[in-house]
Amino acid sequence: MTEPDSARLDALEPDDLDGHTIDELADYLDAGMTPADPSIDESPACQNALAAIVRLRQSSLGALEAAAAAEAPADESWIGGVLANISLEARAGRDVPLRPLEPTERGVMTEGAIRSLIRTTADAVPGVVVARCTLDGDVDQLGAPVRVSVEVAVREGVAIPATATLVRSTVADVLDEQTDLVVDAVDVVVRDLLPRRTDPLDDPATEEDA
Amino acid sequence: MTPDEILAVVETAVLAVPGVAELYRPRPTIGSTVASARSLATGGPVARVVLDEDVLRLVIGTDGARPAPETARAAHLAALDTARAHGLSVSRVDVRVARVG
Repeated sequence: MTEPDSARLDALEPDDLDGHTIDELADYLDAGMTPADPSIDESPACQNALAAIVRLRQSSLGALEAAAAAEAPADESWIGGVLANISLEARAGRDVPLRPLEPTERGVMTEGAIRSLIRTTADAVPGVVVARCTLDGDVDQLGAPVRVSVEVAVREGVAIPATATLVRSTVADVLDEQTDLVVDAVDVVVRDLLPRRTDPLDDPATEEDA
Repeated sequence: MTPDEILAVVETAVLAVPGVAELYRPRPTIGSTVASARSLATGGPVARVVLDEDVLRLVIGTDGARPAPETARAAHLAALDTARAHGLSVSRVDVRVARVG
């Protein structure tokens, strides 16, 4: 049996977004993803990052417009920080093993795929924008306990404790279903408040509902 | 069938597995780099399923509807069965899930 990993030419693929920067991906989105760039379209890391950028834009646009209307400084540095985190998180990172059932099987998930899954799940919670997520522990060891940390921004008017609980439970559920990780804990840290959206239909999880 | 043609059949079989949404090119190894260079030289498509001696390597994206471990296992079985059915000697299938949903 061969060990192809020992022959891997890592130098041909630096540990980044397959040769792209987050700014290049944002420009690609701005251009309507045309002309098609196979080096982006066929890169899972770039696809993970693009999906996160799209969600960030959809979710933060209203907040920034509201901030501008109230003459508050639109916090572009915050957005920049989130984009930087997306760039780091979307990279493939460590190989997270899947439990094999056959001797012919060796399955792994990339750490980047799992971080993107966490980000997608938490971003879907009403009123939440994920700033950063990390996996702490020996994720490359099957069965090792892992601690997940999700740092989020929450929109004004959203019930923070209930929302944090919802983020924690949905992330734990999706990791249980979609990975073989042994999750010790999911820590949710609310780092920022985003301005309230002008359209109340966008934020169903308000204080009144909770 | 040539090995390249068998790998193309394996690729089709993997893409037909429920839950597999995408097949990406694996990271290059010495063997796969040589194979890619050969494909480019002959004008053929660059394979998304790579055979390194007797190990098949796949990188998949899943649709998120089925659990990723289950999908990876099914992709492994589809690749192994298809390769062996066409006479390819395979001892192991490495499946890397690089994207979910």
